[in-house]
Formats: sequence, structure tokens, C-alpha cells
Amino acid sequence: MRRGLLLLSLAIVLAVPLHGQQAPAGSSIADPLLEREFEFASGLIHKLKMPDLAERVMDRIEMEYPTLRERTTVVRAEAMIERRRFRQAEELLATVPKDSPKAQAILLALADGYFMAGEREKTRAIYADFFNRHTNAVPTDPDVRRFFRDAAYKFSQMLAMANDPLAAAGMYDRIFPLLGPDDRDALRQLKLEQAELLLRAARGLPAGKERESLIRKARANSDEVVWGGMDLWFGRAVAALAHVELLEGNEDKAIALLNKNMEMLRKLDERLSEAGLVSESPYAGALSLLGRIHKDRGDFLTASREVREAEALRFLERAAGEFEELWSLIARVAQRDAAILDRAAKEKTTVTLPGTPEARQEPFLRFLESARQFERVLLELESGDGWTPAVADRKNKLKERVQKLIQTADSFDKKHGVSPQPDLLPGEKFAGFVEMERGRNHVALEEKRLELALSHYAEALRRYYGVFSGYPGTDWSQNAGEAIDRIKSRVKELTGKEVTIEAREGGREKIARVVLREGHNLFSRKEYEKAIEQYLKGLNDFPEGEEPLAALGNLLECYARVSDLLSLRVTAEYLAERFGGNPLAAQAFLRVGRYFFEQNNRDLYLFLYERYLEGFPEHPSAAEILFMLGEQRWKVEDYEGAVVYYRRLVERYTKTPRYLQSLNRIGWAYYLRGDFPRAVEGFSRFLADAQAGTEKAQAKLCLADAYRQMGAYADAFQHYAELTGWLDNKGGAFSTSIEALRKNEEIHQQAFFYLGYCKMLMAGAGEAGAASRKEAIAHLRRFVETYPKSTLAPTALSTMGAILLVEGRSDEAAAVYQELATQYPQSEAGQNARLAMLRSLIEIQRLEKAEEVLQEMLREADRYPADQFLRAGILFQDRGRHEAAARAFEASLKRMDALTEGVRRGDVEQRVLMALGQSRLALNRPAEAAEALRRLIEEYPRSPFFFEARFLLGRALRGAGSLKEATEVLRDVFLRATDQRLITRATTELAELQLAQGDRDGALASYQRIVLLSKPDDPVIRPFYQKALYESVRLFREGGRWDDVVENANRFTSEFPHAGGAEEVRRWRSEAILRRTTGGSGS
Amino acid sequence: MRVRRLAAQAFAVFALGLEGAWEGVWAGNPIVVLPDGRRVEGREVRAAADGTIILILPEGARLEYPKGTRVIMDEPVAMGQALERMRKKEYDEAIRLLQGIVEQYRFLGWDLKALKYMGLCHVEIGRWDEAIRNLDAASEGAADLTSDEAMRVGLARSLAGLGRRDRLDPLLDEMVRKGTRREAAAAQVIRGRVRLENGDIEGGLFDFMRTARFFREVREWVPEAAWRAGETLERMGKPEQSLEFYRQAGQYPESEFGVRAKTRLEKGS
Repeated sequence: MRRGLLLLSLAIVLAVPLHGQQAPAGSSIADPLLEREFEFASGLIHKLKMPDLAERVMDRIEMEYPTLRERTTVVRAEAMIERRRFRQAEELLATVPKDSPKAQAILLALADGYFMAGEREKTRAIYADFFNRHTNAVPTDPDVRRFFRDAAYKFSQMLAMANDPLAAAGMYDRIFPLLGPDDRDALRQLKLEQAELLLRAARGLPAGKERESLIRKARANSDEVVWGGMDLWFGRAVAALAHVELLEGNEDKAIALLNKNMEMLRKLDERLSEAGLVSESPYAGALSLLGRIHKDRGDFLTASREVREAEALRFLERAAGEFEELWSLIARVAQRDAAILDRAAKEKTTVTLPGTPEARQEPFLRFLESARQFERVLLELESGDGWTPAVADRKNKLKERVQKLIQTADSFDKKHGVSPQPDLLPGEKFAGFVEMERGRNHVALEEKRLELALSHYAEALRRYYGVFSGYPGTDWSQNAGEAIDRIKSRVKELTGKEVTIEAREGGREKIARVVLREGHNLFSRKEYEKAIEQYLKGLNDFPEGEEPLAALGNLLECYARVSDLLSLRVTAEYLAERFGGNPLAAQAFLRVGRYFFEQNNRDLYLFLYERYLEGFPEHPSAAEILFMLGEQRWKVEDYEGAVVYYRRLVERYTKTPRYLQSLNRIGWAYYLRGDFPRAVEGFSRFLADAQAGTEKAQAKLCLADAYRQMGAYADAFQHYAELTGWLDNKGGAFSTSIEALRKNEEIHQQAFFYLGYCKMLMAGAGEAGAASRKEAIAHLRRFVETYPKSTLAPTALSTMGAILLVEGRSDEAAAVYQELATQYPQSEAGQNARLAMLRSLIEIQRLEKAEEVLQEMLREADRYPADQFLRAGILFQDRGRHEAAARAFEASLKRMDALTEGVRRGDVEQRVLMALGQSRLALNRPAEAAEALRRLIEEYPRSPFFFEARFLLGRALRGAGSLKEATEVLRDVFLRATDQRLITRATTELAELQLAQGDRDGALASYQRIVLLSKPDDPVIRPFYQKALYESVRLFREGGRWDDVVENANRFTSEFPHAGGAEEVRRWRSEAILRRTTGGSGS
Repeated sequence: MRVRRLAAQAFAVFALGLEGAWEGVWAGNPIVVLPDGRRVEGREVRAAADGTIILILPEGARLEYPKGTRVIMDEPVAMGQALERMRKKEYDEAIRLLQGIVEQYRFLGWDLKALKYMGLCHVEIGRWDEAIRNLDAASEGAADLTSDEAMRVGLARSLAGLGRRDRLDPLLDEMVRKGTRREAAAAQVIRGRVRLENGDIEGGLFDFMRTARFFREVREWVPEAAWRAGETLERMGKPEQSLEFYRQAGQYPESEFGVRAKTRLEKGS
């Protein structure tokens, strides 16, 4: 076994996350093998996801090497974490010293586990504590360095995800010292990631030293990476530098940088796509950035006046800066030229400067012209709408600045001119003009600004859509999607029009796929409302296909989670009908059905499972679902309801394992309800295909018994005979285990007994049946000899005695009864021979003979105690022979009046009075019944029949026409009863009384009390609940209360969809829905 | 010669100067398509009263083919005119033109198309019986027309108009489950209306809601679906939920339901 384990571990590539290569104390040459065991266990957890097996391995190791407990605890903790049993993992942690490396390893594994489970705060707390313990330490051991580095990196990612980029960036500073000379690539990546985090942090800060410092550091990191090589990190560094420019307000530099490197980024993107790493592509980042720039420009152009003026001034100030820089250059070159000429003059040499005299003046002229143009623009802006007071200062300073520049240029000594260079001549693309124009645009007329803004928005949308559709499932795409929504809203706000996207062939679908995937992301994060929005948006353009189907399935679940039940139903109907048969859709129903099942929301899980069964009848789980629904009803003893589902299963799913089980259940359901003909049908079908075993034997017994109960003794006999034949061979196919043998033995006994019993009942009257009766007696004798200890043995003797009596063989009968009393003195039959005789005669359907025996007993009443007359009476009462029963009960009362010593009169008299009341009521003698019951109630106020007697008395009084008194009797029940079942029953009786008295409102209130307060799953209450609902619907309908009709009808059809009256209720509901909108009244 | 050989290999009857009762029209560039896919070009084509197709070859010879043989020819001028009238909603005039095509092109294929459009015209003016007659005749003659989207929708509308649930219900079921998106949308709205009429308010609502929500691309039916969903929700005492659908319907001002929705929203606000 151990060898096998080792071989297995060698075959598996394992991770060793926690417990390195440390050898256990006191270990021997077996250490490498032990190490492999630990690796193997770790692999079981992390690779094969079998934590249970791993724990067993640890159990074994701990037994053999108790000193390794600390190590095994680590592995156990890993197993707990894998199973998400974090609390148990923490408890394990408490058993290991806190500062031990092992404890720390478990701690971090636990933190990771919490992270995976979405418990971010706990994760953060553990990591923060860990790093706080190691504030300044830089480990030297390589393994520990690696571990520390990995932990620091992981934590930084968590901090980033938790939206704390500054802290995340700070963690990187702890990682850098841990990198070695071979980690150059890793260093580039980390530098770049840190830069990105710093920029994220900077964006959230106001202008100031802190922000500048972060930007500076980000720039330094990015520069380092850019100059370090041409790889993925290079691309991202370019994007980072562009961000830096943006944050510093240098939009054009950002754009220029991106455009300059765009081709390179695109090639990188292609290579990354091929490698399946498109989500890392900096090209997407660059496009997004360009999108953002254009969007921002659009926003500024349409912002409020104050914002626009501030932005305009910013551009105009930059324009002024450009002019100043240009002048500074012109002046420097001119001064240089002048210096050359001066030197030549001093040296008395000749030097010719480039350009004609006119050309040499041109830069000055052009500059002054441009600067004056700028000044005019400023004056124009001032004289137009003017500037708001908020920016007056700034505007004035700008004006002065420009004027001063013009003066400086004007007064400059131009006699030598300046060497004409292209960069001294401001052309159309001169930055000063560009900035100036931009500034003007921000304060231009609304129409012009709107036009410019829309063109920027269009450009932004183009960039964003490129990202959105090109990088599905990435953060880029998600952000781009959000940006697109914002831009579209803004455009609609500005123009009143919707933005429509004219996509190329397949473009709309491509975009829709991305939208749907975004929906999946939101769904997986449990942001159901947002997921719904995305799904509906995506399905708009991409309504059918595999991806939309997955979306619809998730949408169904979203509606369930947000409790939008109307939308849930609509979506379910659509999914089942339009996509019927599709396994993806089927899965959605099972998933959401399960959700409501676990919530015990019967109404909704039934609805979903029924849609599933309608839409996906061929799905592999359909039979299971039907069976499960049947079992749900079975559990609450709603056999009628259960059979509906089993029948559906057997009709359609004959080749599934549940087919036979369902047949068996059908048989049992009818059998338990006493519907023997149908029980026969059910069991017969089951038996036709069932395999040999105890279940089959039991079913056969019930089949035979059902026939017997129906009086079809010949059929019963045949099946009993077959059954005994099956089970006679104890080593046969039916005996699959010891337990089966035991159960089969019990079944055999019963079958064997009833063989004789049926034989006897099959016998014709008189001589014709003599032979059969003789056989029956012989058979029963054999039974008693074979199974002397069986509980049926006394009954067998008693039956033999009864047959002998019928045959007129009284002496033999007496001998048998004597044998009964001697051999089975503890049995009831043994103790009361005459009673046993009577019972047997009743059981073998010789009721007249039984009454003769009773008559004999009554003639000799003194010989029999009161309780025997009571039992005799009950035997007759059970067979509906109430006349005989009443006589027996009356005899019992007479005997009690004579009061024999040793008889506990109280018990027996109560039972007699109760039973007498029942029989008299059954004989339609309500007044006499009431007399007996009143006596019971008065003489025995604390009787166990307290409630039952009152129910019966109430009925008797109603029968006698004393409705008021009947109501009074029920009042007692209400006063004393605490059991909800009794209260429900009493309420039902009360409602009937109220109806009989014409008090419809009272009856309705009573029924509604049951509907609102009862638990319909209680098998005793259920029939009352059903009646109450039905009557409520009926009475509400009579009263024209349509809303109540609908509500109660819905409950009825939901609970009792196939019950008697269900169709009528459905018709009433439809009528009510119509009536309540048209205001009709009930009939 | 080739044509003659082809004709001999097919089941044509070669007859010279045979004068039989015939109906038909001189149609430009007729081509007879044989069951095995081969084509025979002619100069003229006619159909006899019993449906026999008579093809006059360019050199004047005459071939006969059994009824039901596929014929390809230029579209009759009247067809374009009729369709134009339909676009302008001049249905009676369109019917008149189409009737002419049915008579002139009987058994030649265009009659079935004309029957189809006649049926659709009748649908638009609510002559359900005639619509059904025409559409049934068209689909009986051409198997491909039985799955024609416009015809199925037209047929469903007509059957609903007449209350012919025996045919309507299975048709709607088929359209919803397996039809094109347009068919499904149409069938759902029609079924929704029928359900409402029969007191199944919830069933009707579900049909309207699902069309409005999941079939937005079928602009022809969505305004009605949205309007009716809103209206039904309001009837059921759920005015807040109805607003979503009224707003949706209101996005189609060109539709009568869009106008109704806008009015309703204005009244409510």
C-alpha cells in the first residue's frame, strides 16, 4: 500500500506550497520517503482536489511519526482551507506556535482561502499583521525570501483590488530588495506595475506636492522600463508615460507619444493575441487612453461657462508660453548672429550671414504679426461675451503678458536681422496657434462648441468600441463599456438624440458578445441588478445562440435572486418554449429550481420544474425530477398527489432506474389509501419487470393482500402460492443478504398463513366446500407446526377453530381453542376464547355466525366481563354491523352497572359510551347517540375522549337539529384545545354549523382562519385545509369578492393541482380575474 | 438538337400542331426546370386548362410537360405594380392586379405568388376568410411557401380573426417554438391577444412581456407588445410596472401603439 502510494506520488507533478524540504526531527533514512508523502498529500489537496484522502495520509503518518504532528497539522489546515472550512483551519492554527514558520504558512494559506471566498477584510487583516511583524527584516534564506516576496506580491494585488493603490505600490518597495540579478524581467514587470499603481493613486489626489511626487516616481519607473527593451512591459510603459503627460496637463504630448508608438503597440498586440495573452495588451490601453482624451475634450467643450473659461485660459496661457518660447529662440539666434558680426568687425574680417536682408527680417515680422494676432484674439474674446469675474485676474495677467511680449519684440534691435530657420517661422502648425485656437473654441458659440464636442465624442466612441469589442472579458473592455454608456448618455443629454452605432457586418454581434460577457462577470460577482441590465442590452443585438442562451439562463437566476417573480416567470416560459430541448437551457431550470427548493418555496420550484419537464422532457434528469416531486408528496402522505408524478414518470421514462421504483410506489400509494384495485394494477406492473429481491417479494405480498381485501380470494391464493414458492428456496435469488433473509422469512410467514386463510374463504358453502375447508384446516395446522412462534400462530388456531365451528365440529373446535389458550396464553386470542371465536368468525366473513355467538354471549352475559362485550362490539362496529355493536355496548354498560370487582370501570365505560355514541349515530339515532355522549362528557370531564366525544356530540346534535347546542359543544374544544390539528378540525365543524345556520360570513371567516393559520403539509390537517380553501373560493365567489377568489384559488391550484374540484376552482379563478377588471358581481 | 434530345429523355410529349384548350400567356424567357435539374429554354410558355405546361421552343417546336413542372420566367409587370400598390396600402387595387396574374399565369408559378400577396392584402383589410383561402391555395401549390414567413404570419392573423382555434393553436405553437424570430414575435402577440380574450390575463401578459423584452429587433410587433403589456399590467393593478412598457412603446412614434403610449404617459405624469 505504502509502495503504491509512493509510486503514485512520483507519477504526479506536485506543488510544495508550505512545507519545504525540512527534515523532521529524529528522522531516519526514511526521510526522503516521508517528504514524498507530504508532497503527495499536498498534491492530493491542490492538484487532485481530494482533501479527504490527504487527511487519511496524515492520519497514517501521525500514527507512525507522532513527532511530525506540527507538519501534519499544516497539511490538515490546507485540507480545511481547500474545503472552505476556515474556522476549523483557524482552530488548527491555534495549536501550532504562532511564530513558527508553519503557523505563518497556514496563516497566509488561510488568508488566500478567505480571499477566494470573497472575505476581503479578513484577508487584509491577516496579511497586514504578517507584514507588520516583518517591518524591517529582509530575510536571507533563499526559500524564505521567495516566500516573503510571493506573499508581498500577492498582498499588493489584493490591496490593488481593494482599491488602495498607494498601499499596493508601497508593497512593491518591499519586493525590490528581494530580487536578485537573475530577476531582471521580473524587475521590469514590477517597476511598471508600481508605476501604474502610483498613477492610479495620483489621479485621486488634488494638485500638490504629494501628487507630483507620485507622478515623478511613476515617470522614472516608466522611463527605466521603456529604455530596457521591447516587450510587453515596454508597451505598457509607453501607456504609463502617456498617462503621466495627461496628469501633467500635456494632452498633446500624450497623444503624440501614443501615436508615435502605436504601430509598435499594435504589433505587440498581435503577438500577445497569438500567445493567448490579449488581456495584457498595451494597445488596448493606448486606445482607451485616446478615447479618454477625446471624451474629456468633448466634456470640456460642453461644460459650464466657468469650467470652459478656466480651460480656455489654460490653453491661452500655454499659447502664450509657446509664443514666449519662440521669441526666446528668435532672440537667441539674433543675438548669436549679432555677436558673430561684432567679432568679425573687431577682427576686421568679413562674414556673411545666411539669408537676404528681407529674409533675415522675416522671422521678426512674422512673429510680431502672429503675436498681434494673438492679442487681437484676446481683445475679441473680451469684447464678445467677456469673461466672468472669477477669471478676470488671470485674463488680465495674460493680456499683460502678451502685450509685454509684443513690446519686447517690437523694441528689439533688429538691424542685423536673424538667420532664417524653419523653426523660427510660426506656421499653421505652430503650437501657439493650436493652443490659441483651442482656447478660443472653449468660449466659442454654443453651436460651434457642440459640433466640436460631438466630433470628439465620436472619436472617443470609435476608440472605445475598438477596445470593447476587441478585448472581451478584460478590464479594458469593461471600462470601455462603461465609458461608452457615459458618452451616449451625455450625447443624448446634449442633443436629445440616441446614439446609434453603425457596425460592420458581424460587428453588432461582436459587441453584443462582449456585453453579454460583461453580464457574466457581474453575475459571478453577484451584482444581479447590473447583470440584468447588461444581459438585456446584449440580448437585444444577439438574441439566439450559445452565448445568449447562457445569458438567458443566468438572467433567470438573476430574476430569482432579486425576487422579480413576474420577470422570472416570463423568462422561464420563453426559455422553455423557444429553447425547448436545449441542454443549456435545461440546466438553468434545474439550477434555479434548486435555489427555490432549498428555500422551501414550493410554489416557485414547482413552477420551474414543471416548465422544465414541459420544455425538456428528454433531458437526462427529467425522470429524477419527477421522482423527486413524487417523493416530496409522499413524505407528507399526500399519496394522491405523489401518484400523479409517479404516473408521469412510468408513462414516459420506461428505461430509467426510477421507472420500477415509481411503479412500486404507485402500488404502495393506492394500497395505503385502501384503493385495492389500483394497487393491484400498480404492483402487477412493477412485478412484471422487477428483479428478484425483498422489494419484489414485499410487493407480491401486497398484491396478494390487495386481492384478498377485494374479496378476490382465488387471485390472492395464486399470488400467495407463487410468493411462497419464490421464498421456499432460502439460497435462491431472493436472498441477497442476511437482512434480506430475515425480511423474506417474515414475508413468507404471512404468505403461508394467508394461503390457508384464502383457501378457507374460497371454499363454497356446505358440502361443496368441505374439501377446501379441510385443506384449509390442514394448511393452518401446518402453519402452526412450522411457525409455532409466529405472531400469526394464535390467529391460525383461532381461524381453525372458527372453520371447525362452521363445519359443525364443535368438539374439535373446542379442543383447538383449548390448545390456543394453553399454548398461547399471553395472546389475546388465548385469553378470551369466545371472543377469539367471534373475531375469527368475523374475519372469515361469517358475520351471521358471529352474531349468533354474540347472542350466546348476551344470553350468558353474567359470564363475561364488560370489556369483552366492549371488544366484541368494536369488532362488529369495524365491520359496519352497528346494530350488533350497539347491543354489545349496551350489554357492557349493564355489566358495569352490576360492577364486577377488578374492572376498571372508568376506562371501559368511557370507551363503551364513546363507541355506543358512534354506533347509534351510524344507525341514524342522533338523539340516543347524544344521550350516550353527554353521559360520557358529564361523568368523565377529563376523559381522553374529551375532544373526540365533543366532535361526535356536535354532529349528533346537528343531526338532531340542535344547532345552537352543537355550537356550544364546539366552544369547549376551542377553549381547551392547543393542538392545531384539533383546532383545525373544530373550526371546520364550526364552519359547517355556521353554514347550516345560514351564517355565510361566519363560515367564511372560519374557513379563512384555517387557510391562513394552518400548515398544509401536516397530513392530518391537509384534508381540512383543502376543504377550507375550496369552500373559501366558493363563498368568496358568492360574495363577489374577486381578489379573494383569485388569491385563494391560486393557493388551491398550487397545493392541490390534481385534486377533486381543481378544475372548478380554475374556472372560478378565470371568471374572477375577468370580473374584477370589469366590476361584475357574483351570482 | 440538344434541346430535342433532352426533351426526348424527359417525359415530354412531342406534338406538332396540336390544338388543345389552353390558357396562358406569352412570357419572356421562359425556362422549364426538369425534376433532375436540367433546364429547357423556350420562347413562350402556356398552361392548358388541366395544368399541362406547353413550352414553345425558339425554333417553334412545342413540348409538353405535366402539371406542376417548375417554370421560371420574368416577373410579370403587373406584379411589380401590385406590390407598389400594396406598399401604398391600396389593397383593393393591388388585389385586382394580382387577380389578373392568378388568371393569366395559372399553373406557371406566378399565380401562386400572386395568391400569396392577395392573401396578404386580404389580411390587411380584415377579410379573413378570403385571406385564408388565398394563402392556403398558395401554399398547397408550392411547398416552399408553407414555410414563408409572411404567409404564416398572415395566416395566423386571419385564423385569429375568425377564431379558428383548431388551426390557429398548433400553428402558433409551431411558430413560437421553431419559427423565425419575426414569426415567433408575431405568434406571441397574436396568442397573447387570444389569451386575453379568453380570460387568461396572466398568459396574455407573459406573451406580451416576452415579446417586448426579448424580441426588440422585430420592430413590427414590439410596439404593440409593449403597449399591451403596459395596459395589461395596469389592469392587473400594477401601474408602476406598466410604465416601463409604456415608455418602450413610446419609442415608436410612427406606430399607433407608440402614439397611444405617449398619450397615456402624458396623462399619467
